[in-house]
Amino acid sequence: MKGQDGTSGYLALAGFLVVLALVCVALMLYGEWFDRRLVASGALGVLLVLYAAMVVLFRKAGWTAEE
Amino acid sequence: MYRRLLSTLQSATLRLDVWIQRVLPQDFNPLYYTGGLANLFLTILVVSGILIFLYYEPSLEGAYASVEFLTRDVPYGVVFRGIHRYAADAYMVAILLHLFRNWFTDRYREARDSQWLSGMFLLVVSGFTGFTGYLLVWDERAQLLASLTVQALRSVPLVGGWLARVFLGGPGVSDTTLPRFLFLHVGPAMTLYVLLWWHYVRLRHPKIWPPAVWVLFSLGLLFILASALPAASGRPAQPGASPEGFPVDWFFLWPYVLARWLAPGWALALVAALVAYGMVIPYTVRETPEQRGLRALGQAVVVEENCTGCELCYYDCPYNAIYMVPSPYPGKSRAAANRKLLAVVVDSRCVECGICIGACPFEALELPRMLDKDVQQRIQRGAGAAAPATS
Repeated sequence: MKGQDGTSGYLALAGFLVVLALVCVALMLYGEWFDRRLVASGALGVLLVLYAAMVVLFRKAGWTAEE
Repeated sequence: MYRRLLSTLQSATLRLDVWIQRVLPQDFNPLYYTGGLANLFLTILVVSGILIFLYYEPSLEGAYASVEFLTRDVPYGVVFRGIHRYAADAYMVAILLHLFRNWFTDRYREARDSQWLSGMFLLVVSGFTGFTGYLLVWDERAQLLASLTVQALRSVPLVGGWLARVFLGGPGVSDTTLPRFLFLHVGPAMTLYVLLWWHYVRLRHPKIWPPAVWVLFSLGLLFILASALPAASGRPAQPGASPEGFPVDWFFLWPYVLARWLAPGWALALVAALVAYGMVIPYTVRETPEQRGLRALGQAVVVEENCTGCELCYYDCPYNAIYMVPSPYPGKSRAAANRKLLAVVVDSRCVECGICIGACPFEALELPRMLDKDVQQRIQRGAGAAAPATS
């Protein structure tokens, strides 16, 4: 049960990061549309870092195996 | 004192691994991939450098303006410039972590001296390439750096004047200077790949690339830095001006900070002495492995009659210390009766790690001072020491 609780915690956190990633995508579109390119590239950077965090969380949750 | 310090640092390095692995899965530990991370940042530097190069004009009049055009007018030009700048810093951080980790964990001695030496050359050439990158902007900082470098080079006995002329592309700053700086940036950058070949050539399974998680994280971090703290030039260089200060990038320009207290020639001599010391570190160890309390198992030996020529040891040896040669005669064991190849150990490369022993299913390799009887003796000695005294 303990492992399952931990897994659900990791997945909940990953879900939160997915929401943040969507916000980043929106910021990228905003930056490109309104010529705020530093906002767009900064949002891309945050998006990549969020992806990295999600990869770690998926591994800790047991969804992915060692490369 | 020196040995105690290294021993303390080794313990600290290994403890750091344990702490990291409480947070991250073991194969995500970034300290296992410091070399791979350096390679990643070098790749980013090459790609972003090519993009910047497309807009760069190597002339006294055009260099500064072309960099400003890239920064202000080219879409995402400021981001690419920032990524190039911060990837250079990250590259040096990765190299230094790699160096210190291998130093503190004793991975530079005996057969590993080739990796250490090539690594030192990589560090020096990388530092020089990074430094010449600052000159290409040709702002006040570049002008001051060039001036200090010329002073330092001219103070070198016998060849100083010639070195200064080679550096500037003539007796003074002229139209040939910026093309020369560009060559001094791109040329050494290309030699980095030759040095990397030397660095890897003796390693069977080098970790040349980090896991995807660190590729994503590193790229993301570079984009964030390039956006939050955009790279900027100082004021344009003025002929005849003598700027007095500049913003310091500690990873590449630290020798120039020394110039505040030392004459440029002495600062150059100090850098040269540090590099020379770095080169001889693997040869400063005078103790034998036994004196250092390390394994002293002797280089691996092939038991020829058992070797089947299967090549498992050849593929598993991390140090390329095993070669397969045409078998001079068939082995005596049934498994080895029809072999075509025979394993041969290159003594100077063997670090006595025992990996080949584990790889061989035919007991065809052994460490001469770690035979079954030696293991049994050790067990008996250990058991004797642990046995309770009887009265």
